[in-house]
Amino acid sequence: MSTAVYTVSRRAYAKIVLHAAAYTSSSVNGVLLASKSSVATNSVVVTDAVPLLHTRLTLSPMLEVAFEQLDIYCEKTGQTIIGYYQANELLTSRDLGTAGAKIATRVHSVEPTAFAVVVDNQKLATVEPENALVFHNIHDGQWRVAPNQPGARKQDSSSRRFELETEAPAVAAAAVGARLHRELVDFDAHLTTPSADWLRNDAVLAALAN
Amino acid sequence: MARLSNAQLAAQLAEFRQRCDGPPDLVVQYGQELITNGYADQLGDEVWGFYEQLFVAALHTAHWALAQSCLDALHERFPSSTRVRRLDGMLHEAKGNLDVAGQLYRGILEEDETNMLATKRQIAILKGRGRTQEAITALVAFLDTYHADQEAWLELCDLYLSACMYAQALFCVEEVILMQPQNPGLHLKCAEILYTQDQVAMALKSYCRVVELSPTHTRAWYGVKLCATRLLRTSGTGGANRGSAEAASVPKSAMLRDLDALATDRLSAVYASTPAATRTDQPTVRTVVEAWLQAAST
Repeated sequence: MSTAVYTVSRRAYAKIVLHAAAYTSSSVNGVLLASKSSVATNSVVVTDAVPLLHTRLTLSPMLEVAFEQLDIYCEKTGQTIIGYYQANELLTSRDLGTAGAKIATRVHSVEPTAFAVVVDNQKLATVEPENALVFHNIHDGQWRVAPNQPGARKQDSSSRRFELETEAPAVAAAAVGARLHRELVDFDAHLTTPSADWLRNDAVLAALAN
Repeated sequence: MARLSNAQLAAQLAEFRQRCDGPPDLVVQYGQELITNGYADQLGDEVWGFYEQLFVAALHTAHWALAQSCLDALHERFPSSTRVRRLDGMLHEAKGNLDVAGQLYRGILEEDETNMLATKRQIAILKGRGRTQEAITALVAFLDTYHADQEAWLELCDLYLSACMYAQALFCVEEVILMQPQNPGLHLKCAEILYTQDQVAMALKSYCRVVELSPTHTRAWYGVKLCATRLLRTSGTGGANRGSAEAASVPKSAMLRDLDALATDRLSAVYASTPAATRTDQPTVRTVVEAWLQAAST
């Protein structure tokens, strides 16, 4: 059996970066989606990202509401939550932390192939846009950095591989340059402005498509 | 978006200053525009507050040259100000030169050990180094001296939350609530901490306090709904330990059902004006919320 490959689409990658760019001085988190039918195959495409919080990531009530609504949204659209992402407040911090690990483990308990992503903030502002995502697998209840990161030369053939769609970092950098992060709405912001669409972020998608 | 006039830009920035918020990249954009247009000179004495605001926004967005020019202007006007020296320290902090910044703050404190802002920056450095426990210890000592400093209590609350120390975080919010009992945001924070600690009945009370103070608070109505649904589900099974404070504060089922129905009404009304789905495979937020409200009630 060949190893499974997980590819993060430009759209999903851009939304993660835009979310981090929208709230520069706080931690942010969200989830990654893939089509339900692709999850059992050897080639999984992470089609979208849904931004959740940018305040108090360690408090649970609104996270619970968000996950319940996400489950309904996924059910109606034939998608599933395939991953959890987080960008930390501190520039150099690449830890999931206690709360982040708990949320990721919750995602994993529903979808056994789920993974976690931490954003390497220092790679968000490089001159040449490069991959800023650090992928994590769970082993015995512990989240650890996955061996096969995007673009890595050495591959561990016994483990699954993570990739980015071509040009994803460049597309994301251009989106930040176009100030698209001002259009991005997470669940936190949606609660203040309920007319804003946190599930799809159509305004961002339309601009990314151009 | 229509272009804003200089006066409009200045007014918007003044409003951000007053509220102590405003997205940093927007502040930088507006501020740079005002400077380019030569309008900064017309701000009168407000210009110093404007430079300080722009300086901090430039730090958030890593516009070092802009930050330096704001700092230079402030330094020229207030050459011996410790407030300006503190800003210099913040520029070093933002660039990652934490040792240099720390020395600057120590220098300020050697001249004036009661300089509260320099002490706060020293605590911020500990936080910036990821030394949460030390930052907590330093803030606790700070609050011994400045007991009425609400910003410090709330910062301590957030530090405790980042360390998942919920009981301590709750204590901090309650301190601030004593000083500001009418602030819905504080009761909201209290409610969310209580819920996270699994004290659902107590959380419900706090959420109710929020909607009492701020009747259109969507986030709090979600909280009311969440708590009421959960308590209704567990009320038959004995839920919380009998005899505990939590168990004693669970409202009667009839009351819970009323609260649940009220929250459902309020939330439905909030979403009634948002777009409905045009295709079943492309649900909108509203269709999802309607399905959620129904599922939670059954």
